[in-house]
Amino acid sequence: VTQVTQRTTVFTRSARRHAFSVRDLDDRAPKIQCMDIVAVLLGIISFAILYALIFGIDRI
Amino acid sequence: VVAILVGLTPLLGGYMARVYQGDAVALSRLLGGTERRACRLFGVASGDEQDWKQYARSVLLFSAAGWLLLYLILRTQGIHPLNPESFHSGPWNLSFNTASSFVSNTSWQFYAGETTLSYFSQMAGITVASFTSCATGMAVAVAVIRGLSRRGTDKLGNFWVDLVRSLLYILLPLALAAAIVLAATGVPQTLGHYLNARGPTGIARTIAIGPVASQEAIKLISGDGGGFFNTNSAHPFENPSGISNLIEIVLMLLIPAAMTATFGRMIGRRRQGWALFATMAVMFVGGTAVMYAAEAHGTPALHAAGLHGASMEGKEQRFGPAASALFVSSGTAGGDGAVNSGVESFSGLGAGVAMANMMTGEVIFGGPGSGLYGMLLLVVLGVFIAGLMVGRTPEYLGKQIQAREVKLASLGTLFVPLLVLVFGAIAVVTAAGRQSMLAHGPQGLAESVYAYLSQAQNNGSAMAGYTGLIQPVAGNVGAHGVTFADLAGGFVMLLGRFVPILAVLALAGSLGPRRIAPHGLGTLRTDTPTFVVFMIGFVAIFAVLTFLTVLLLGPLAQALGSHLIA
Repeated sequence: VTQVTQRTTVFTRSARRHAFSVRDLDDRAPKIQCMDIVAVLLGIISFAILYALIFGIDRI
Repeated sequence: VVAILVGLTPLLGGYMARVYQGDAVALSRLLGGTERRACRLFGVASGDEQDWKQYARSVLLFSAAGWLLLYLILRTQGIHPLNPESFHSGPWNLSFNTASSFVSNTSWQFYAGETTLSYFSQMAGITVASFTSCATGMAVAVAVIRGLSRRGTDKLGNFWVDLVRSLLYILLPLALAAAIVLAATGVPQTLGHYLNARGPTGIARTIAIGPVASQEAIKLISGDGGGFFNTNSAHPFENPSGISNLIEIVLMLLIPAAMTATFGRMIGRRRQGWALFATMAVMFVGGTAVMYAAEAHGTPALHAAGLHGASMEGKEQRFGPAASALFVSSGTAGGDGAVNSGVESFSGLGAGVAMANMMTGEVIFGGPGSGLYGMLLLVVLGVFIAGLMVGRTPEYLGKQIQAREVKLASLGTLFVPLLVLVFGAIAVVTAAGRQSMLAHGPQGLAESVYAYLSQAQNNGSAMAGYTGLIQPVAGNVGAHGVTFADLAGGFVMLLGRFVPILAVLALAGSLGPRRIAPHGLGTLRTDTPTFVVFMIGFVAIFAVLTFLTVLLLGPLAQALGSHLIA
């Protein structure tokens, strides 16, 4: 029952989406937000930590 | 399924060994020029080899570039072509999670593909990342094999060459063939608009379609598991029939199983590869049997409610409890994470087996490459402990295991459980973590821990209740992510993928220069049934000792309870 309800919800939402589907490209253009910069920095920091870990592991 | 794998493993494993050893294969004439051009693009001259640190740096640089590219694709979705439903971009925190998910070969999905991603994002973003992250894992496994089989050198091969060969000679041909077969079973492959239809009751429906077969193929082969649709392989367009169900199960386990034969061929001792295969296969069959029994006979709660027979909640009528249990067991033992039924609706014991499969460290076949190198980390620890128990010198494949290797193997095997337990605990005790939970009590604990377990082990399967995205309508207008779940999950996936990779590459680099001792009376045999039985016990005890408390408080408490909703 849970799965059927979830799926029905998905398709109902999908049907409602048509109210939003006719929009011009400007409306859908990405707006770079400060949180995007935060996300990219977090990603870069994650890989930088892993990169630094190479040298840490090499000392084991 | 195991019989099919026994037949296909030496064929594909032998072919992959020839590919990685640079031997000519049937596709060499067709793709050799492309391979050379791709290697030149990465700045690789013929014969260039890397030590473990250079290899690890290449892995991280390639993955970081892939992460950035995928994040950009997801966040600029609104202006891309192939967006017939005019979807906007998903929120930044969801995109962080999704980029981390597919670069780490996890495919954890807080989003529903058909209401969130354009065709371009699915094809150029998700599908491409599935190929590249899988090839990365396979390349690392091959580097580890070289470290174990070579002597007198610290060189492990070249990441870029291994990457290109994995993509061109193994993944692309397999994915092409699988996509055609899946399309023949009824999986759609189109760039057309979603369909509008009226259901039997007259209510208007939108039926999502798209380039499903091409994504489905690599979703299964790559160990990624990220479905085109929200309900993954429970959706009839991803998995239309019993035949497609069987094909998908085999595809999930094919490369991870074949890697054991590749290992055996490349080290020149095929029995060693079969010993690893047998260890994985026995655990897989045992777990599947328990899961099936749990789903086929209901639970105390269902019996108390007067419901007897198989538990069909969350299962497709087409598949029933047997094919559902087999698929979910394959998806969680293998690193793929694809599901054809709702794990949230499984019995406590059935869901507990799914969790236990992941708690072993994804070594019961596991992901392509990652399953093999994860098992090899455990073998190194197992050989060390067995050596202490029986008074033999700890060595594997003739290479002596010393303190450094044991420390590296411990780092590679214990770091991920630590991630799971720490983040799982934070998720259930903080308000920020609890906002993602649907259920309470044992089920709530199970779904939270399952989320971080699946992400850290790079599996990607989910109990449906744990959420990281609030989406009022399809197409992302007004959608926002749950920042804690999205960011914590993203970090867990990246660390859970790459820290073990660094540890196992360092281990291979450490063993590479070591001489290979001749086999003698004092050698602990690692290709015998006795060693297989020992490894099964070792892996099971390792998982149980690490996660026993959470298994008892979550799924097992749920299994023994007599309340339908905890």
